[in-house]
Order: sequence, then C-alpha cells, then structure tokens
Amino acid sequence: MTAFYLILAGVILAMAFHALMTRPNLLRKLMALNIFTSAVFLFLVTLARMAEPLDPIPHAMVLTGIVVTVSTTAVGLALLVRLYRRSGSLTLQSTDDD
Amino acid sequence: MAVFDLILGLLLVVLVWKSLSVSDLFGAVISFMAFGLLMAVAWVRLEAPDIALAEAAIGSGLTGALLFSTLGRLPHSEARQPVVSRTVRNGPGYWMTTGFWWVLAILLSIAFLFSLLDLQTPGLGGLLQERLPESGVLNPVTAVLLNFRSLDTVMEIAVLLLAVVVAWSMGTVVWPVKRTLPSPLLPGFVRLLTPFFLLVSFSLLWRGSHAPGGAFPSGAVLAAAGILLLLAGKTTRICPRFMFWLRWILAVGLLVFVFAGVSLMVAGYGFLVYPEQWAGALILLIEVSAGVSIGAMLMALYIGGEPDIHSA
Amino acid sequence: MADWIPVVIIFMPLLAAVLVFTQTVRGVAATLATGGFLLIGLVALGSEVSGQGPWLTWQPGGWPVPLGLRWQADSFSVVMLAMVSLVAVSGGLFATGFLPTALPSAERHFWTLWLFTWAAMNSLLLAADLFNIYVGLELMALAAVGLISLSRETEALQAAMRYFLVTLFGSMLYLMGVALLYGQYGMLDQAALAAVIEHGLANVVAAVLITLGLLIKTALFPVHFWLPSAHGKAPVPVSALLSAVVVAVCFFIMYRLWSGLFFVFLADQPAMVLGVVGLASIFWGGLQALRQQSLKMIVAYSTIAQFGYVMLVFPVFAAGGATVLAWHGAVMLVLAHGLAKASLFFAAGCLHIAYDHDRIRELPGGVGRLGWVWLAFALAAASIVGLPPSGGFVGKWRLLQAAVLGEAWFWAVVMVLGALLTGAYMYRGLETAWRPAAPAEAVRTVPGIMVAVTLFCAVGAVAIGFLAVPLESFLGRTFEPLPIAGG
Repeated sequence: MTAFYLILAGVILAMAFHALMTRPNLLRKLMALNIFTSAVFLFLVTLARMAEPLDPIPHAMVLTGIVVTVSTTAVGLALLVRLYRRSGSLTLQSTDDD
Repeated sequence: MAVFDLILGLLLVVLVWKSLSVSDLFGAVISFMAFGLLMAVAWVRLEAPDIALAEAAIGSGLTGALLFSTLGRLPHSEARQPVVSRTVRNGPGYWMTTGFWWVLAILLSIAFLFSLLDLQTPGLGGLLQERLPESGVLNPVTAVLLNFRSLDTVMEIAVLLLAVVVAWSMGTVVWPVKRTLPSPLLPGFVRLLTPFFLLVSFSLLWRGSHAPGGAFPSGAVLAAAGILLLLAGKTTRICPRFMFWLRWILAVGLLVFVFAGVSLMVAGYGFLVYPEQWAGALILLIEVSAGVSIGAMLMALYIGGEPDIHSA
Repeated sequence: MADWIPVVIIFMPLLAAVLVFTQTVRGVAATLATGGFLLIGLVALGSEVSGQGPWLTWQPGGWPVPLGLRWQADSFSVVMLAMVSLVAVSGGLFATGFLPTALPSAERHFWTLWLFTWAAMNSLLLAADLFNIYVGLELMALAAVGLISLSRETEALQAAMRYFLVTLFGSMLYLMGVALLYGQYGMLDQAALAAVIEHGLANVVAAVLITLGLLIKTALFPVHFWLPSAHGKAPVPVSALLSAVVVAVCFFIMYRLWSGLFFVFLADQPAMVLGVVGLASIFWGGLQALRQQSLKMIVAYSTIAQFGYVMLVFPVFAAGGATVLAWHGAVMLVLAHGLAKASLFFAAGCLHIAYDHDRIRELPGGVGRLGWVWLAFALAAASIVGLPPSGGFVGKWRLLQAAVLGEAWFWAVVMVLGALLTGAYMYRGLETAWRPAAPAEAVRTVPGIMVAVTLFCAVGAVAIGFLAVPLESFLGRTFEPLPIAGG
C-alpha cells in the first residue's frame, strides 16, 4: 500500500510541477504550488507509515507545513488581488532581461 | 482495501487535473477543495488522523474559502479565461515548452521515487513511545508539536501572524462588509450552528492532549464560525477600541508561548523546558491562547486586508 | 550553557515586531532597542565562542537530538549575526529619512515587516535542525515579499509575485530533500546526520534537491532571474536588506551544509558543479550589469556576480591544501559584501531622492551632501571590486591565495577575470561622479541621516579590511565544520 501512495504522490508532483511552469494564470500557479506541497506532504506521511512503529514526527512536520502553506497562500492571494487592481492582468509579464 | 486506495488515487489525480487544466476557474477551485477533502481521506488511510483534521479544516476548507473570496474580488471575465490562449497554443514553441516541462516533471518524480525505494525508514517512533509519558500529554503528535519540537511551533505561529501582517500591508478592506445574502435561510441557520461550532472547537482543543485535535484544528473551526457569521451578514461596526483588542488577540498566542518559554528559562529550567509535573498544564495553557489566536488569524486571512473602519 | 543568548538573539526582534504590530512601541525605537539588546547578546556570544569554542550548542525544549532540536553557533555565525544587525539598524535609520520622502504610505507596516525579517534571519543563523531551517526560510520569504510589495509600482508587485512563487518552490525542493534524509536516517539534525551519512542514491538526490532549493534563494545562475527586478524595484532600504543579508543568509545555510553535512560528497564533481554555477553567475551578473541603465539595477546584478564569486570557495575546498584560508576568504567576502552592498543601495537611494531618477546617463555629478554620497559609493565600490585595503580585497585575496596553494589554476584565473569585470561595471556607475554638477534648484535635499548611514556602511566595508587580522584570529586557525554529534 505504501508503494501505491508513493507513486500517487509522484504523479501528483509531476502534474503540479508541470502546471506551475506552464500555466500563465497566477491563480492557477498558486493552486499548482499548493498541490505540489500536498504531494510533498504525502511523501512525508507515507514515510512515516513505512517506519516501524508509526513515526509521528513527520506528522508534526506536515501539520506545521499545512499551516505555513495556508499562510503563504493567503499572502499570495492578497498580492494577486493587489497586482490585479494595479495592472489589470493575472499573468506575470516577462522580465526585461535575459 | 486496495480497491479503495486505487479509487481514491484515481479520484485525486482526476481532481488535480481538473483544478489545473479546466478553463473555468470557479470549477477549478471547487475541484481543488474536493481534492483537499479527499486528501483528508488519504491521511486517514495512512493513519494520520491529526493531519486529516488539519487538512479538512485548514488545507481544504480555509484555502478553498480564500480562493473563492479572491475570485469574488476579481471580475467575472477573468474567471473564464482559457487555460492557454489560442494564439499561444498554435504558436511554434508551445508543444516544445510544454513537452520540456513534462519531461522534466517526470524525471524529477522518477528520481525522487527511485531514491525512496531503498530507504531504511528507521523512524523515531520507538524513541518517541519511550519518552512520551514524560511529555505531559498522551497524543504523540501534540507531544511533538508542543513539547519535543516546540520551537518549530513557535516559529509556525510567527509565520501565521506574519501572514496577517503582510496581508494587512497589501491593502484595507471596507468594514462593515456589505454583502448580499446568498440565501434568506442563512442567518437563522448560522445562528443555530454557531454554538455547535464553539463546542466543537473547545472539544478539539481539550481532546488534543489524548486524541487527534489540538490548537490548530480548534482555531480553524473558530475561524470557520467567524467566516459563516461574516457571510450571514452579522458584522457590526467596529470602534477603534476594538481594533486595539484585535491586534492583541492576534498576537497573544505567540506572546504567551514565548513568555512561557522565557519564564521557564528564567526559573532555571531552560527555554521551553517543561518540568514534568507541570508539562500537561503548561501545554494546555499555551494551546488555549494559541487556539484563540489562530482562530482570529485565520479569519483575518480570510478577510484579506486590514479592516478600514473609517470609511463608509 | 547560557540559554539566554540565542533566546535574546532570536526573540528580541520577534518580540519587537509584535510590539510594533500591536502599536505599543514605535518602529524606530523598537529597531534601535533591538539593536542594543543584540549588541549585548552578540558580545556575550562572541566571548563564549572564543572561550569555549569553536562550537556552542543549546537545546531549546531540553530534549536531546534526535527527538528534539538544537541551536548552534560558531565564529562565522557570530560575525554573520553582527553583520545582519548592522545592516538592519542602518537600514532602519536610513528608512527614517527615506520613507517620509519617498514612500509615506509604507511607514505603517514597514517596521513590523523589517523586524520580522530580522528575527527570521537570526533564527536561520542559529538553526541546526533541517526542518527548523525550513520554517525559518518561509518566515524570511514571507517577510521579504511583504517588504518588496510596499512599493507602489506595478513592476515591484510583479517582482514580488515572481519572487514569491520562485522562493516557495525553492522551499519545497528543500523540504523534499529533507524528507529523503529523514526517511533514510530518522534524524533532522545536521551534526547527527553528518556522523552517519554515506554515499547512496537517496542521499545524493537529497543533496541535489536541498542545494537547488538554496541556489534558487541565493539567486545564482541559472535560477537568478527573480533577483534583478525584485531588488531593483523594491524600496531602497528593502533592496539593501535583501541583497546584503537575506541572500547572504541563504548562502550561509548552503555553506553550512556543504562544509558540514555534505562534506563527504564534496569531491571533485559536486565542487566543480558548484564552481561552475558560481562562474556563470559572475559572468552573467557582470555582463548584465554592464548593460544596465539604472544605478539600482547595476547594484542588483552585482549581487548575483558577488555571490557567484563566493561560491568559488567550494572548488577551492575540494582542491585541498588551504581550507582555512579559503574559509576565511569566503567569510570576509560575505561580510564586506553585506556592508558594501547596503551602502551602494543607500547611495542609489540618496541620488534617487535628489534627482528623482537614477538613470546613469542623465545623472549629474555630486556636490555638497551628494559629494559625500559619491564618496561612500566609491568606497563601497572599491570593496566590491576588491581593491586594497578594503574588506572585499582581503576576502578575494584569501580566496586567490587558497586557489593558488591548492593549484586550482582555472579557478584562480576565473577570480581575476571576475574582479576585472566587477571593476568595469562599478566604474560605469562611478564615472558620473565627475560630471558637472546640476544647478542647486534641480536637486532636492537629501535627509542627513540617509547620507550618514550610507557613509557609515561604506566605511565599515573598508574597515573590515583593516580589522582583518583580529577578525581572522577570532574565526580561528582550524576548520571545524560541525560540532560533535550528541554534544
């Protein structure tokens, strides 16, 4: 069973990574980043399950991670709204270097 | 049970696809919330009930509410943009770029997976079981969060408070919020539900010492109650005095935690070193103040800006 | 072990931030008070490190590793903490003059965010636990995003958003690496892991992921793209803090890991890769700096180049022979860069206030107060380029000596070329100082405190060169990467 969850995490990781890099819409990038973090947490919790006996430290790490993620998501969304109000667009203009 | 896992996994993948590749942003956000709820089920399957609680309340519930609130602040036209615009899709580089990222994504996952295959996973479960009785609580996750690795939790609460500060620095929100009620039943319904929310929140806090629960789910439920009240239109005028108290309520969780640590240090035990007979009581005290603070902070994040009481 | 020292160092700024948030204390007062307390704490810490060194260890929570977590400090930590405090206080003083003139709307939230960033950095400089570092990195990133967004320009908000996405992605890569290491060994403490780590696929992948995450945050080629707009468009004191110390802290963590936990992996190839990353950053940053039209952008690009330079410490380590020299060089370089970079940004800010823009082509020469600003710019530029007797010179010279002693000729050549390139783009900025001055009416007066702080930091960068000998004896004659596990 744990192998299944590891593979599942890998699939979700790949999908989220791809969306983060290719979707221009900022809201979608934020959701992709969130889903990416969920995949990483899935890895951690599966690791906890694989240990004998069940290891609660990754659980604490993931709990902390969830709270940190919601904090950063909230900030990202506030920034997104402010950016939209200023520039009227929900995509990042490319930088003028490189 | 393997079939259950299989279906769960399939649903999760489909929901991820929908939230990232469907052009309707409202639908995408709903899929995202459903993804969060199913992740909570996955956490239960992986024997992580504390995380399931936190994911359902904070990861899925509150984040979904935040996303909807943000969508509400954007005009409707933005919500229906195609995921990739037609010109880009037919442009020369599109398939190359997307293909490149897919390859990279798959390589990243495979590298990660292969390295996971021969992990020893000794884990700290055994050591933790031995020392658990000294921690003052019975729930191992609470013991880790509030005792063994309490420094991480202090910093985590600081991150949450900082998020409120940053969100407030981005702009103000007119208060009281004028809203059209989505349904005339809502105010009565909310009035019935609010006491239950408070009971559940308190129960989660109290249970945290011996069962899944604790300050974070408790605070999230409090925040949910507050958000429901907000949606039902039950917002009153705030006087400036209230803003003063609000700031202190937001800060109290962190302050009590740090103050406890410093007092223990001054008393000779060491920073955040609980003497064994007092550990349970100290943890409860810290959790209560943290729970209230977290509820206020999560609700403040939902509101998304500093309440501007001088307008309207 | 005196527990109060790390507690004061980390929690004073945090407490100050909360007090400013609850509007109990004013921002400037809180910053200065924090600086005062930190001075006491750092003096105590410094004397403990010299007396009982080279490593100090504390256990908040009282639980031994691996169940609990640890704080650690050595001489490098002390000097970094000192540099961070100097820049934080200087930036705060600069802001008292800058904000009312240029960005009055930002004053309400600036101080809380500033103090939170300071607290995050201090916690990262003392952290020994990998997961604690993750939380600290997130704290620092959020605060930095908030600070960048204080500016009103759309470009600044775009830069903040880009930085937000990139740095959080970097944190996730870091966390993935940590998860792998924990899965393999069941420990999160650097020293404990260093004692048991071996070669193996999982550990290599973990090292790659962690390093990639930190490289993103240190803005080295090829993941440097977020820095120029973020540091170029942010309000001036914010740019100074970000370029001088935030990026430096991320490098510090990477350095700790590669000279401690991952040292077993630092054979030729990884060191070569890190060196190439540094090389690419030096040349890319330098060439782009030559192209820039705005003074602030030149200074921002130079951060990429300078940290590329510091990365060369890794191939020099691997070449063997002069580890201590290389270590001293890297430390001096980071220190001098911090003060000099802050001063450069401050100078650009003064000029911006005076002339309302910072396009090099159109900047007139300096006179009166601005003469002092240009003097500071010249001194800071001298340190960045590495002219004697500045701190930058000592750093680069030590690295060069170490490279020559280890017979790493390729890297020695890279260092020399890099210094020449730095000289070229710094001169571009500096040459405007000799142009005829503008008539007095076209120039706004720059608040004195801003000029004073600019000059102070520049003099500090040069003074580090004079203080090289006592500093190096404080850093120690032996290279001890990590404390003994369990101690």
